[in-house]
Amino acid sequence: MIRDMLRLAIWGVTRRKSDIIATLHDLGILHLDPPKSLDITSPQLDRLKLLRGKLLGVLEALEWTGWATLKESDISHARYSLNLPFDDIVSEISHSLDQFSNRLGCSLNERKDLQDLYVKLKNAHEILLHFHSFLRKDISEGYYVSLWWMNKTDMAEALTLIRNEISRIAPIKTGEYMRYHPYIQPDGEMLVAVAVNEQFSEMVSRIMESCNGALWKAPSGYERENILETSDAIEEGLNLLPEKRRELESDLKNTAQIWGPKLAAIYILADEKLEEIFLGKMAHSLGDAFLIEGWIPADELEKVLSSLRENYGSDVFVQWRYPSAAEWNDVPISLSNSTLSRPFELFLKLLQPPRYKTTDPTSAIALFFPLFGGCMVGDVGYGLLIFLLGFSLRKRSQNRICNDLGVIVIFMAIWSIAWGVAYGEFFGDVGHRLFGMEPLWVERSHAVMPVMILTIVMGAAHIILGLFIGLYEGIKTKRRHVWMEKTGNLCVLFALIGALVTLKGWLPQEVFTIALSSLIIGLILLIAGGGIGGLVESMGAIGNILSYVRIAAIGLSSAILALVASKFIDVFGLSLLGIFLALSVHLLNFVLAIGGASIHSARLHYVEFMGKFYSGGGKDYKPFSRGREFRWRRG
Amino acid sequence: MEKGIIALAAALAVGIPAFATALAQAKIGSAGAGTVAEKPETAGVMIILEAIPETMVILGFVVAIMLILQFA
Repeated sequence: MIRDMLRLAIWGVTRRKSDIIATLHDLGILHLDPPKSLDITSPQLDRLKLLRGKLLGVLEALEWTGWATLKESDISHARYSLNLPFDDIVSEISHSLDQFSNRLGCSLNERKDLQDLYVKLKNAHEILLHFHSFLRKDISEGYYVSLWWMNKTDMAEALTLIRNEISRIAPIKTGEYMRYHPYIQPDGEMLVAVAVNEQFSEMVSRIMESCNGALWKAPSGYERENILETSDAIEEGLNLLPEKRRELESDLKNTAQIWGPKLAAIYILADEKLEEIFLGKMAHSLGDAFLIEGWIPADELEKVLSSLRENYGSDVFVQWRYPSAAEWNDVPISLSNSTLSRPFELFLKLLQPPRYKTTDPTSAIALFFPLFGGCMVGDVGYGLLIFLLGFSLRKRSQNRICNDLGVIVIFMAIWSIAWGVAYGEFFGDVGHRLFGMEPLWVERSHAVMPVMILTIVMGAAHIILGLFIGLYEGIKTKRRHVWMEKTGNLCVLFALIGALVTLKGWLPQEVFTIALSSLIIGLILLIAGGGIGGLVESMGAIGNILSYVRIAAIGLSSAILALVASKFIDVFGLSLLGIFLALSVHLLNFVLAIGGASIHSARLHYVEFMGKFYSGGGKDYKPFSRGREFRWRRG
Repeated sequence: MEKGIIALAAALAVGIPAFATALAQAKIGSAGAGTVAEKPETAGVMIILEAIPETMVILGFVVAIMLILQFA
């Protein structure tokens, strides 16, 4: 049900304004109207916003993503530890944060440098590995070897020039030596290794440079006497660097683990403080007094009053009133349902909240959703599996939505088991084969009509309930066309039901006359309430009831699929293939049963049932509170 | 022969609406995918919308069952 709300006006003396706002923040009950203008600025606000931005920046730099695991105790600890005057604390944190950022920046830069160096060494190592045998042979024989980046066309010219030059300087064949080895890299660039006598090294450099060649150099810090030694140094570097990187990563991870929750807690405190300052600015100032207005649930009034009275005595004055009909559209909506039906409030999260003073359909959903879903699944075995699924969802997940989902699944499982007993199904006909299980009502794979009729009866009851709720709301909100349409629809439906029952001979013939009268009255009301549209809507209501046949249809397909699974055992015997195929079909059926049953049951509620009375358009109740559970749990 | 025609009629009663439903769901699905890409919070509503045209098949199924039970 929708909780009654009160409009609260809190008058207080200005000197205690920040304390009163902090108390309201602690209480976490008051829902504030959204501000009319958002450009409220002050040096305090700007400093806090800057601090918040810095904190978020540092948290991102730390790669800390533990928002979901942040505990309320972390925030309480930070709140207790930082109990200093506002200006002092903001400047102190900001100063410390700057120092922390600098140190963190150094570590992050070091990590980046190590990563870059590793990539460079890896590339150099790959190049040298390619020339390894060439380098080893020529360097060990005392030749001078150099590596050059070149164009393909320039290379031929440069090598010819070198060869000619060597022939010119040393015409006698003895001692004349030149060897080269080209290497085209995957990206198209070309490297050439040239080995000559030591005396020709300068000449080689001169010619290569004149032919647009660029000398290959090892990464800084790894250059040695000759390329072979350079290669060894690079290899050594490649072995050492990962260890260094691991150490640095581990340091950064530890820093994130230690400081992440603390900084996140400060971020949340800054956020809260920002809200308090914002509220302070939003409050109406009346000289020595101020005024804050908002909404609270009526059942929380005593808590607010006693807290304000205890802490501020005569420094605060509170007025309250129930909202007028004109204000109903502005009243925030807070739902209050029993422990068993509260998880079903999840269904309203997909829609806009209901309007104030309308009907909360949660209790009806809690009753009918699992009933319909269970009727579609209708198998004791599947029901037990669904129960385990729901149970593990509840046990393992800390998330409230998953917890609620677990309860819904458990409810559906209980109804699935109950319907399974009625249909005599345990993984299809496995129950019958193994334990001689018999249906308590009918075997739905054979008796289709009784199940179809039952689903239509359930649908009629569901739709009639929806129309009654719509009628009640129409009367309550004094909307003539609404209550007339709903009454007209109800009369037409009752007339059709009455006529059918009479024709079947279950009721005396006189009832047919009453049904006919009801039909005429219904049609008049429909035309008077909604014109031709009203008549169309009544046809829609009949279609809506027929739509509930899907419960039988999906159930029938599920039952037949389960029988098909058993057939595999009949055909292949108790072989590995037979068991594998049977289990595969059961798995498929189970997934379809859960998915289909949930979606179609939800659809019957959203479209058929709630379409009769639910309009949405309400506003969520968002109290001014500390550490709003989901606000700071950013994924 | 007569049974064959009844079976064909029942198959058509389910098959034609199933084809129409598939066409409708294809359009809703593609529009829904676009919507969910821009507003992920609409995923739940889109799943429900995707299931809406299935009413046609359900009604076809009712007709098929009636045909088979009444005449076959």
